[in-house]
Amino acid sequence: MTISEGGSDVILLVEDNPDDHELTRRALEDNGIANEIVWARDGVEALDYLFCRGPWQDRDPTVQPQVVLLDLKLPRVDGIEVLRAIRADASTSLVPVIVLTSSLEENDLVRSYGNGANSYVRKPVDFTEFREAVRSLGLYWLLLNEAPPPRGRTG
Amino acid sequence: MAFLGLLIVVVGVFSWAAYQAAHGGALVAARARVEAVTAQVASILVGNVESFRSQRTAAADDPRVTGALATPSPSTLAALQPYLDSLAASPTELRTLVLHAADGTVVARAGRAADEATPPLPTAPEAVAAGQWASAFQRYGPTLGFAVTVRVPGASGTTVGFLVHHVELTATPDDAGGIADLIGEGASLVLGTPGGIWIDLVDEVPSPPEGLALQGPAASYENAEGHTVLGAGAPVAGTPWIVRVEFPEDGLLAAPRALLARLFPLGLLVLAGGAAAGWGLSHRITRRLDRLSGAAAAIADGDYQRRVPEEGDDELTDLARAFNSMAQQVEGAHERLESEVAKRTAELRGANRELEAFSYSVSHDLRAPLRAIHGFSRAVMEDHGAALPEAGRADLARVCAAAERMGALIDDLLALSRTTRAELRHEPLDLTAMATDIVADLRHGAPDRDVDVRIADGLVAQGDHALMRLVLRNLLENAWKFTARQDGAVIEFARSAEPEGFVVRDNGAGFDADYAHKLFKPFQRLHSADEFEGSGVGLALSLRILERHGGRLWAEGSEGQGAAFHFTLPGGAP
Repeated sequence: MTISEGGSDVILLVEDNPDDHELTRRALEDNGIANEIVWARDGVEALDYLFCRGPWQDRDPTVQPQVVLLDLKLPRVDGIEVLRAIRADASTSLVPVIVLTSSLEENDLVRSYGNGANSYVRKPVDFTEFREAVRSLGLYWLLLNEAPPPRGRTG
Repeated sequence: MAFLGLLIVVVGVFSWAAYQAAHGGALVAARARVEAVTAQVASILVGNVESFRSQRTAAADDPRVTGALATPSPSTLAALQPYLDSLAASPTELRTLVLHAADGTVVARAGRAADEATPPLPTAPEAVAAGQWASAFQRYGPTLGFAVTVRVPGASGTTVGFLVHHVELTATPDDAGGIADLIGEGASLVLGTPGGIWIDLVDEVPSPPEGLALQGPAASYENAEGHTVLGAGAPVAGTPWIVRVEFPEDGLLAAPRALLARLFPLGLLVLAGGAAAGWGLSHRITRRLDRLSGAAAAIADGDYQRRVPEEGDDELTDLARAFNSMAQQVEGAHERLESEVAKRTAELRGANRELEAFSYSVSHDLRAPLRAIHGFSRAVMEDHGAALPEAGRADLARVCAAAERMGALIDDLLALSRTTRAELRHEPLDLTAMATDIVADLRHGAPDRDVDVRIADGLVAQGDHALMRLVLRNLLENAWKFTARQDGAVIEFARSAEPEGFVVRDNGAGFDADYAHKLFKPFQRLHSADEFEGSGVGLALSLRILERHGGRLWAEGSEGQGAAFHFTLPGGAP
């Protein structure tokens, strides 16, 4: 099933670790979430996608992801910087961002929320737990939560 | 103040002693003077009459006298009389001239008062023989006088008769005053015989006070007029008279009294000056010492730049110098210490930061592969499990379990390192709420378990919220875990009898008390992993956290009889 309310049904997964990407993808799949998953391997790729740059320059800028799953520790441009960039630009500032990371450092929590993250979820080692967490996330953010209206439309 | 009084007394005593000495000295001098004057006067008086006496002594040796005495007859007497008359004609003081026989009978008389009753021998023959030629003072009617007795010598030195001249005193007040002045200011002179008449050369005067030693050294006494006088007496040779010279003591002692009058205030002044100087000096010393001790206290309090002024040039200056150089050392040492401490603190902070970064990245980087291990093992299980034999599935299950354990271990290690690094916050903690929360989580994680959890109300303390939460979670999780096989499991969290103490009790599996000391060591476990899971770090972590709070953690228990974990947390309200 694809869960979306108009607009896009893309889940932007910003994750440098291929294993984690695969596990997340599996978790989403196991929970029957069939939204398109765009995988950005680091901050640069994430921003390229969001702002229709580089390999994504032909993308429709009015179409934004329904939710961004953002890891913090990324090469090149790290998660917090991506978060800041997202919140700084009017075209992306309302997109829901879930920080999905293995860190539980208070510093990261503060910085994430401080820079406008909507949610902060810690990746458990136990895959069963992880799958369960993804299910909850999916249910909430993709189904229950009202997505912000896509930009480019008035009203 | 008492000291001052004492000094005044000392000055007073000293002045009095000085006065007494001066007085004594003055008295001694006065006495000597009086005695000398008296002796002088005595010899002057004798000298005055001496010429007359020697003259008359020669006159007494006249044949007419001796003849009349040897053979008293009208013819010898007739021959004697004109001679006697001529002798009696002068001096004018001579009243009566009487010739006595050796036995005292009157032989002949001459002189202007010859008609008057003839007094008997005024001076006893023995006395005359002994050299006394004057008599005591006598009254001749209204006038005063005395008798000069001259011996009439016979053959071979015997005395055949006495020629007595009764003379009147004719000294005038001026003469007497003149003599007195010669003697000395205010002095008075009296002359007389004990028990007899006393004169001041002019008139009769009252006898000297009774009991007074008439002769001898000068003495102080009250005279007849009631004045205190210093008087001395001396015998006048050849007479029964004693001459006494008196000086009023006031005059004599004017000098020492003036001395005392000057000495006492002067002494007090000198004393006051001395005391002031002494006090000033000691005060100066005290002040400098006070400054020194004040500076020492200030330095002890932390004012390392405090110094004392090095004034003057004495031992205290040396002391001040030594003190200042020591203070300099202290300041230097303190500065060095501070910079060392700052350096070490910076190093420590740096090390801490590095450690933090290291732990963080290590845990993060370690967890990711663990996740992959666990996740993909499960994936294999789910996707291909059916195709695997039982053993294969079991192996994969072990892989998963191992990964989970490692994850827990990493979490615990991270937490353990964090507790020693992090700064401790001090905030009020609601332990009741915290425990209730944790238990709710535990129940949620194991909804099938029925555990009676009793959490006391109003459990509060002071400490770091996050860290104490770890402690409570550890203790409650342990209790939860070790009662898993207990029917009617009871977990209790309440105050203990210890001041600022709390206790988490359970009636679960307990532990072997012999190994209780190992409980709190990291990675030491008293149960095998088969019985109860756990990394063995939790209690070590809790202990470290509590110790950082200044509290304690210890356990009581026995195998199969449950356990009680006691801890104290300073700042726990009574």
